[in-house]
Amino acid sequence: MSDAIIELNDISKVYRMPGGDVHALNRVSLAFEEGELAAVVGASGSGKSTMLYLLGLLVSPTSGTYRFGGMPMESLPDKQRARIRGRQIGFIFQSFHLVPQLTVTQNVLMGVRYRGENNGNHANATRRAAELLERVGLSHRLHHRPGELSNGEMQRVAIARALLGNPRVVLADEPTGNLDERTGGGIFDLLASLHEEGKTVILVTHDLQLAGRTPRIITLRDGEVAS
Amino acid sequence: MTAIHLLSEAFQNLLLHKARSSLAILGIIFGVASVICMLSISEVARHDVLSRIERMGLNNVILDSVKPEDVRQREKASSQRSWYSSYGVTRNDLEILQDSLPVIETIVPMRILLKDITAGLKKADIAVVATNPAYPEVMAHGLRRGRFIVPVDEARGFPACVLGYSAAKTLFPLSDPIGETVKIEGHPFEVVGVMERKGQTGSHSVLSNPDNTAYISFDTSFLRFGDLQVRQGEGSSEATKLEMNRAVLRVKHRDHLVPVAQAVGNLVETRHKQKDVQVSIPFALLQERRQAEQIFLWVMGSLAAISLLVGGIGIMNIMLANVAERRHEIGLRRALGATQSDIVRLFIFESMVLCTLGGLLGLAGGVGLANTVGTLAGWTVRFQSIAFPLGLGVSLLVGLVFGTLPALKAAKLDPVLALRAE
Repeated sequence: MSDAIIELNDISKVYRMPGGDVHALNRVSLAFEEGELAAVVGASGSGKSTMLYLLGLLVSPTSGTYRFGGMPMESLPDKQRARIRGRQIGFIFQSFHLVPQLTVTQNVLMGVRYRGENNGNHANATRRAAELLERVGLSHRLHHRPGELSNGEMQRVAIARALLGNPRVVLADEPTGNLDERTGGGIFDLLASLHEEGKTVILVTHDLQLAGRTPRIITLRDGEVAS
Repeated sequence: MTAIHLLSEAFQNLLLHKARSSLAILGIIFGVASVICMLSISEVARHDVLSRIERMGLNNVILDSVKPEDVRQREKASSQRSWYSSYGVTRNDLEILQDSLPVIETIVPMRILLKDITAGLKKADIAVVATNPAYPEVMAHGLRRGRFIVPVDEARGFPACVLGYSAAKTLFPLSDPIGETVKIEGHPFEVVGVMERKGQTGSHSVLSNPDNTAYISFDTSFLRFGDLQVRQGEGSSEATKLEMNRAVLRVKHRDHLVPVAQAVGNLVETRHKQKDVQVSIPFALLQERRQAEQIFLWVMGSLAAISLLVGGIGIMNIMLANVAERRHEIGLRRALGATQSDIVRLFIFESMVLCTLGGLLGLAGGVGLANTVGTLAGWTVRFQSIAFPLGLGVSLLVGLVFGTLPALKAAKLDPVLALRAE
């Protein structure tokens, strides 16, 4: 496992709720190699989204160790976790999370300010945004607003936004959940092309047919890795 | 993120919600505008009152002759149609004061003569005041042209007359008054000088308007018009022996003001059977006025604070609504690499930009409102120089203080819950 970019070791995540503790993840141990394409599947409430957000450093484990690029993450302060998230991880969400009042280009550029590397170089970032939008087939939509786009186009904007910082890992939470089969297929092809470029792509889905197109499927059941 | 990035982002975000942002800053606009307007109006009133007091002379003790209460009562109760009264500060009083109190530097008597003044056929409603050569210096009222009454006029009983600025304009609108003759109750007087414009001083009905006054020699006034002043009414007459309406005592140092005023009070009490002299100190009036002004400023400040508090609460409510509405965006920003501090800064900057905009609009509105009030009331509007930076600074502070809670709330949102929020 020397090439592992992500290593989870005995990870548990417990949410303290007024009605009692919820064990979202229970002693999960997993590793993802650099450049791997994998799908996490499972029923609703199986812990797959929690795992994705944990991998993306938006959630901290209750116990266990998490190494990203060989570095332990669980004890890092918010600022460093945010910096790693901004520079090395790209998120894609089921409901796209585009800001309706911003143009397509502005949406793609949203994260650039938090990476701390592009200050004073807005022109470069804008050029890169345009390149990415061209790659996802939206070069004619640069100045449109999300309300003027189809769901498939919105998800492609979200993919361009995730790729702006050239992340090592792309985490996709039900990326085709709001799309029809054909459009979802196109989005998967885009994600697969990222994997071919050497990026690590981990997607969470309940769509077994889609998961079947990935080389590796991880099944979660009640917060534990079933297979 | 640099401040410029934050500012531009804050502007962008606020522009996305124009209507809400506009409503949010209304409280700040009205708060700052009312502060600026009230400060300006208070400044006008303050300046007017203070300059009136200052023009009365800050090293002076003023003795005003007042009609005693028993004389008033007698006049009211009397069925007689003619009466005589005698009261007030006398020349004898002044001589004793001058001899007994060496700290008194100069004494200026002022006697209002109830006489008509004419220039040719032109008759004007101008006060005639008899005084001595020290008047210009003690009352800080300079000459515009010519000379004032000099000791030689006093010694020889020369009928010299000096006109106040407005009086000269009224009596001689087209010609040079110097060398011309005016008649006071038929007696010819030569105009020897014209005073500078002085403006209103104090609150005395006649002596407070030195510009609309003609000055003659104090000693000459007794030679020409005698001791008694007689006022004729319809079927009645009032004869008064009033040697002077006012005496202004200039002391060498302000520390002497209170002791001299006390000594004068004691002297008057000893020498006069009735309470017919009122002693006042303009400097004390000024200090009282300044104390009153401090209280006024506290009241004004409290009103402004309440106004801005209400504005600030409005901003906080709008910002809290903003946070609630933008939960997805907050979660997204966190996913894109924003730290909690970035989120705090984002919302605080937005709040501060809102309040600064409100402050700027409030400043403009306040200036406009004050000018409108000034125009309607006929005032020269004045603005305290501190008002503008204060208004803007307070707006910024309101933005900072009332933006902090919503900003912290935004930063503490669980990013996952924020992203999943319906």
